[in-house]
Amino acid sequence: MAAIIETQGLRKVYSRRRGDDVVAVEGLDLTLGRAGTVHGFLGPNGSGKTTTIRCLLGLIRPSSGVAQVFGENSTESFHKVSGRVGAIVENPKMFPHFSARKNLSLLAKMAGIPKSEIDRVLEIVQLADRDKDSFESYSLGMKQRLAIAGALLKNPDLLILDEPANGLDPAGIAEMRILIRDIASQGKAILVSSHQLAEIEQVCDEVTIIDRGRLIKTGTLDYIRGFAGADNVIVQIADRDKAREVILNAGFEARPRPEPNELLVDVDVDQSSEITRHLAEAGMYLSGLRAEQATLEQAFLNLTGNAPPPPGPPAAGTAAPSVDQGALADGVVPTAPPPPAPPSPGAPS
Amino acid sequence: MMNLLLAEGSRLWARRMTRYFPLILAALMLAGIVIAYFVITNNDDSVDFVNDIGGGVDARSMLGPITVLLPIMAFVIGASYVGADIKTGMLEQLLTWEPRRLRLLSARAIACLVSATIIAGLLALFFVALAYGLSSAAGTVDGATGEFWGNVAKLVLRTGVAAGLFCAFGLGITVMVNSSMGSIVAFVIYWFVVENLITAFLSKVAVYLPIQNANAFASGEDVERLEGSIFGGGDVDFIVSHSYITAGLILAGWTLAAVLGAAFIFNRRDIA
Repeated sequence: MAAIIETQGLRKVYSRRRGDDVVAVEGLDLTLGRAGTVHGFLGPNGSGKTTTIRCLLGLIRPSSGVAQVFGENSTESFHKVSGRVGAIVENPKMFPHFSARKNLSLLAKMAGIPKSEIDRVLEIVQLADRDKDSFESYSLGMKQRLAIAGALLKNPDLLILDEPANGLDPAGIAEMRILIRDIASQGKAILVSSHQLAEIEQVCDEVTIIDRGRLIKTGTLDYIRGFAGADNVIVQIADRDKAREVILNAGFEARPRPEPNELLVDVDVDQSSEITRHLAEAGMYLSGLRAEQATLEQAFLNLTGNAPPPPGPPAAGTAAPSVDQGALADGVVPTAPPPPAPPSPGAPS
Repeated sequence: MMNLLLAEGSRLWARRMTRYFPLILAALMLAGIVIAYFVITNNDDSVDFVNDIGGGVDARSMLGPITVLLPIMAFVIGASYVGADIKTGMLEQLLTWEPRRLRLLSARAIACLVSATIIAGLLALFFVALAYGLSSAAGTVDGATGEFWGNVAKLVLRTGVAAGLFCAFGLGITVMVNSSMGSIVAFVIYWFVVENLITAFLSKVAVYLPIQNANAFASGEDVERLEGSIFGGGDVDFIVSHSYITAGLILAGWTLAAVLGAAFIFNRRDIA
């Protein structure tokens, strides 16, 4: 059975009038998408996510290579599968002066979809009671939901959402997250492009990371999180500065965390007893110790080479990190090279 | 294809431009006729429906006052129809529903052609009705025979078709230049400046240009070519170049060329 989404050597170069070409996608090979799963498509701004999606939808022609959806070449024969694909590219796009129902009805008419489907999708996105309001009067969150309703009208097997959480407030993001999970639970394959890693982490089962138009890594969420770097433990102790000195002298890396009395120590959780022993020998007793959770953000920053440098040691006598230091310490990632990839059956890289 | 045609037709008719522009023109016509009525009655004058307004039994000058307005209206409706998609980015959305671009463009061109023909035909009829009312109130409608009304009907139909062709023409030009404002401005400049210049300097070429042929087709008059130079002195004469039927075909040719050009470009354009 063909993969839902597949690209082979996909390359897209935008020619500019002043002559300098911009390579948006550079030889991208992807094989992804499974029914009932949400696949995150991640990359920094300008990494080629939207260009790839546009190639998949047949909106732009690749300079070379192939983009396929449900086994059909998107450039030549996307029309054969367009009825199985719902998509929102970048912003929700509808006719601003038309009501939600009018917008959906025009789309439904194009494909001969019965009007009863409009009621169904409006219910799904919870806009049934605002269906007569014009699109332009909607909040951004409502616009996003209406655009999803438009994509769902076809009852697609694959839903492609490009930056669905862009511009949404926290409540809107939470609604979007629930909506995406609901849709996936109906057996749909969903591709969500985003650079909001926390959101992706909460909603996706699988993740693909691209950067500068190239594939960096693809696999399950746990597999990708494995690239977050060396394990860390968080030590809670009353005299943080003195404890840090003891830990550094014992040959471990330790940095202050934004929380008072917390240190981030570069050590495997299995070896954390070493830390407690050294501290105890120095007459210091910790009030807490826990493993730091590996996050998708850390993995992403490591994999895309955008990890910020670790903060330097605080000046002597500093009682607590300043806000800036804290912010850095909070976002700090291990500088050690990523560990070997944990085993992940069926997860290509 | 029928679903697509119906959807495109519905969307075109749902647009404010499609509904309000003709209504504004209708209001202007009404205002013009009311003003004409007061001018005529205040001057103790009268108007002859068949001879003054119609220009005789062939009714060729019946729609003279609105000949310029209807094609421009049609062009603007066609241009803004696709221009709205470009502006709102809706084209992306539509292409995920109908990725076959030639089908989409064809459906739109047909929707434009049919819709503008109906709209312009109705406006032309409205103007005839107003002119008839004016003549009844401030003059005479004597001489409006069956032959005269038959000619009026043909005139209205041809005017509608010419507007329909201009609507599709506007759509084609806008798709090519990818901007409704750009195409409308270029069209108005062409109408009032470029084609007049070409007519003045290259009269043999001018008889194949769209505006001249549209006017001839709508009014049912032959297209005439200027013989001799208006700048060089000497005799100047007008010689019949071709009939209004040929003029209609030439106009249709221009429209087809614009739509084909649009199809060629649109089919290759990145929608980003």
